[in-house]
Amino acid sequence: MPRPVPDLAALYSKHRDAMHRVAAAVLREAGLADQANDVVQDTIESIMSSPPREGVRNWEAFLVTAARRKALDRLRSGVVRHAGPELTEEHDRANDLDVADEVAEAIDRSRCASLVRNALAALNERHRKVVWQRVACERPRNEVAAELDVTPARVSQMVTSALEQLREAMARKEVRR
Amino acid sequence: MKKDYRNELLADLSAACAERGSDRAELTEEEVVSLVEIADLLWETAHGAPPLDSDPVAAMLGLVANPGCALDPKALTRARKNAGLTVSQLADRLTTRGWEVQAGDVFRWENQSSMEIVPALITAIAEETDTAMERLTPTSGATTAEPEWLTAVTETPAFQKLVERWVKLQGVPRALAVSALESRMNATVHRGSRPDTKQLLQSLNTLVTALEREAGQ
Repeated sequence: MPRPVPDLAALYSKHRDAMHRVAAAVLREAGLADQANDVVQDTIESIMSSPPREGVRNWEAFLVTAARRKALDRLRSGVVRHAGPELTEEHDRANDLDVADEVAEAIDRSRCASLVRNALAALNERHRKVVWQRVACERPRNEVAAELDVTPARVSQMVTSALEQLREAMARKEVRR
Repeated sequence: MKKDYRNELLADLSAACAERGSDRAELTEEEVVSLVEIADLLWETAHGAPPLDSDPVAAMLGLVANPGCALDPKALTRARKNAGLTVSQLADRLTTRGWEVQAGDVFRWENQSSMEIVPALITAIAEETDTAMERLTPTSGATTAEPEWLTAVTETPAFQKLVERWVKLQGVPRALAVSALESRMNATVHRGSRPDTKQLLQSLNTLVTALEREAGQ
């Protein structure tokens, strides 16, 4: 008996965050993270036009992998190749990656991103603010330092300490899983 | 610009170590790799999907609640009973279609509030109860006033033609097509400066044409 095909809207509602994250992460190295929305849109439009014909076992994996591949396509596009930053070997080898590994990695990464987001709650407010502004939002160190009225060196210390605390919090959660 | 973010992070780690004193003047390579990995994950958490009402894809799929396409609680109860479904059975059918719905949700929609139900879910309910979507949303068009710029677009013959093409392309009721295209325009406007009527129509036409091309229409 064929598997029922869920509504694309329901699937997107559940997995859109992971799709955007994976697209942004792929595009980031080429400085194109702001194109993640367009990549996700292209992905969904492709699926709307050509829905998968065979039964899909894991829709999260399907959508996240589709978004990742669309992002890699964009990196490989002529516009980027000629006008944008250089591509790394990883991008050229992407097609050769084992699909199962690719899916597993994408899903695992999505889970880890959720873990790190939850782990932020373990930080005190100042460390949380510094690491978020400096690492997640990529704001210049001097700007963050001025905002918190500390030295730039202190910002570096706080970032490092916050990352170490996040690593420990995640390790504890991993052990408990 | 490429990999500047990585260099910045390494500079932070390096500067922090230098301040720590001689006993831990440097991080091991393994420590650096693990901290960079955490930093990458943190960055990714900040780059998830935009809010629903400014996500053009969500708008296109009917995931943005639209007061002009709201579910009527009494019509829902009527449709469900006419289809011979219990509250739980309807919830199960919607769950099979991928929606996270429990019997209590359906009960609440019928007795309390149904304003948050998005057009795509209303379509699913209409299909599962074999009811025309228009019968579930009888108040369509009688609710909140649209902004002027939106009315200027939706009243054009060109927009009406786009709606017809969307209905044909997606196989959805007209009300959902209107809602999807309106929401998409709203999301576009939220993303940046407000374009004029002609630009909005052009943008919608580009989308519909691309989808028709891919669908071989």
